[in-house]
Amino acid sequence: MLIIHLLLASALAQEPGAPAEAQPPPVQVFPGALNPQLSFNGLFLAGAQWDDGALTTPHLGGEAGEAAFPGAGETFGTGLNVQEMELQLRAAVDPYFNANVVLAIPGTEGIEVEEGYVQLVSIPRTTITIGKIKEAFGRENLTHTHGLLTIDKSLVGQALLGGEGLNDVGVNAAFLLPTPWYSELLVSADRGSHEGLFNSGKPEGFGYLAHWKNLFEASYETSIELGLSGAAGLNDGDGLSKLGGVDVTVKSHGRGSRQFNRLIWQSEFMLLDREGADARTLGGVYSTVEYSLSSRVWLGGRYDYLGIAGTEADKAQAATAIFVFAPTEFSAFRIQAQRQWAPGGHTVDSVVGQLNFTIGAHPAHSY
Amino acid sequence: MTFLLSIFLSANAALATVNVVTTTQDLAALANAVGGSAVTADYLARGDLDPHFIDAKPSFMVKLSKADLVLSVGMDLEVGWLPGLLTGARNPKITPGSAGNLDLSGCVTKIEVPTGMIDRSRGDLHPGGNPHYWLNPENGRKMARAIAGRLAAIDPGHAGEYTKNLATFEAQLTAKQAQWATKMAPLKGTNVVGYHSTFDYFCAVYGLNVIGFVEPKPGIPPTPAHTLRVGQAAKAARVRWIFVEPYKNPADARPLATLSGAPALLLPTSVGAEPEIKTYFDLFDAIVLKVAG
Repeated sequence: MLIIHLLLASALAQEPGAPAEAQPPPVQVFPGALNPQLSFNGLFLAGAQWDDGALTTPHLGGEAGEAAFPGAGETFGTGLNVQEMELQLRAAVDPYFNANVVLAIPGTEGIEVEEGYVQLVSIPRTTITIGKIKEAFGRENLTHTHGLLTIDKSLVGQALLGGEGLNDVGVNAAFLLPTPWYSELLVSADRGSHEGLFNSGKPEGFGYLAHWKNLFEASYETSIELGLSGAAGLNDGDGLSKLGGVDVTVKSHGRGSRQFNRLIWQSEFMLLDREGADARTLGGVYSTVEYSLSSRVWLGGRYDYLGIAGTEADKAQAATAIFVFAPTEFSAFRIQAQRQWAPGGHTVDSVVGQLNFTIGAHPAHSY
Repeated sequence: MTFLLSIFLSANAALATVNVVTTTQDLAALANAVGGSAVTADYLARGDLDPHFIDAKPSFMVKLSKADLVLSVGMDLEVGWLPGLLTGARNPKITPGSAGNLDLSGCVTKIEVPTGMIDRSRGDLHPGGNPHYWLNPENGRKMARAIAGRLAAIDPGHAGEYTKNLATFEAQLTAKQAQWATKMAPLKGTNVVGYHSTFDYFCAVYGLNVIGFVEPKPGIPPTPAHTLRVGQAAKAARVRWIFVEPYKNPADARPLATLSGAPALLLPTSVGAEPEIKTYFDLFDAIVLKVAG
């Protein structure tokens, strides 16, 4: 019946008097046209760090991401460093699947598969993603390092999800719900190999996650996004680890020539409840604000608080200010000044500059 | 069985209305002109905004999830935001290559297709050429024909209506083109400077000479050295205007205006750039009025 219908539709379309169907563009042959889209991003750092007021020993090419004191956030030390280099390959596999592979080189040594997945895109209102995936827990966890406002991740994100974030091999299904506003429900299961969260080593030790994302438009220029996240899985202490999160993002931009004057406020709350051995409850929040003075210059800041429902030894705070100059979409300079108040009364001060560049295919902008 | 089959086919031959979603307001205006009451057309990028830099808002995915047909300018104009929206829409009807996805750059006459090595040292170059082709009214005719053709293919029940609407649009366009050409004729050979290459199609059609740009390279903000160079050239060439898009910062053109003695002229680039510009004809009426009076 479908074939008959299609044939008839085709015949009707070719009736005398019907407008001619648009002709396809002339065939252009590009070398490598069927190759994946390639893009490469590099992040170089130069900075200075003072632990309790003393300048840390300069080092070249050292590992980034070590905490100055127990319970403090990861820092970059003093000297020059490579924060990360990232190679991304994207392509349609066939009419049914897209594929995306992100290979990351943290520092200057070793290659990690940061992401590598195929995504089924041929089902109405649904995508199914299989592979190694940055999991949809809040907003920061989904953001690649070069896409963050600040050079480092939030204290609560680092403390609860780890420096690499919640990122594991699994499968997820995301449904676009039939609501007048944007509402997406995502559910996923992963293999439960995340160190510190879901790493029981047991056959049944999967990690499970759900994320509900909603976006409401106050106007064309202003939107409010509200997300709820929950994850659970067996931990290495023979107990259950449960993670919850709420994220709120407000974005607004101007009209016409003020299009590039943007204000973005993003905040997240996360809470971990770990049962079994080393049971603990710990939560925290961060809040960022950024304002674009123009398409090239923006200012921002972040406040972190870690220690909600935790002990005195868990309590840490940070205040961060950042200035960004982006000559084009493909390069940016950032200067970040930060003070951390670490557990035990320690302070960590740092000033870090970052060069961020991208070559290759035009990056897709996430919202 | 035959009776049931005929009911099924007749019910499906004509869609109630075709839900068209376009990337720009210009394309929505053309879809409305050609589709008439048989379509509902909505857009993503409002006409006062730079179509290169539109936020990929998830709410756009909701619009696209319900679309029967998506129309795009193509030539990488929407490359930073449309691909992600199409994936996020989860609508197999509008995936690239399907009948519900029409990239209109395939049917128009293009200019400034770059030759030689293409990389970003030449700025934010579009490998397929200048993507602002809707500012040539003859391209508007080609776009309308392509839209009508695609609408008829996916909604054959309304093919006659699309044909009729297209004929009306083309007749109006022909008449308007004669008016615009008459008004613009005295300006043939006038030298102008553009901010970006947005008005190059318009200038080519009406014989205005674009002798330089505020931007040193496509998408690159002006530098003092470039401004000085173009300002001197513009003064020597007795440039009449500096054309500025509504989404550009007019202050960026002021140093050049001071150097060259030519005023900055804010021109709409798209339907919706100003509240009274509601149709494709309104857009050219507004541009011609500002330039030729």
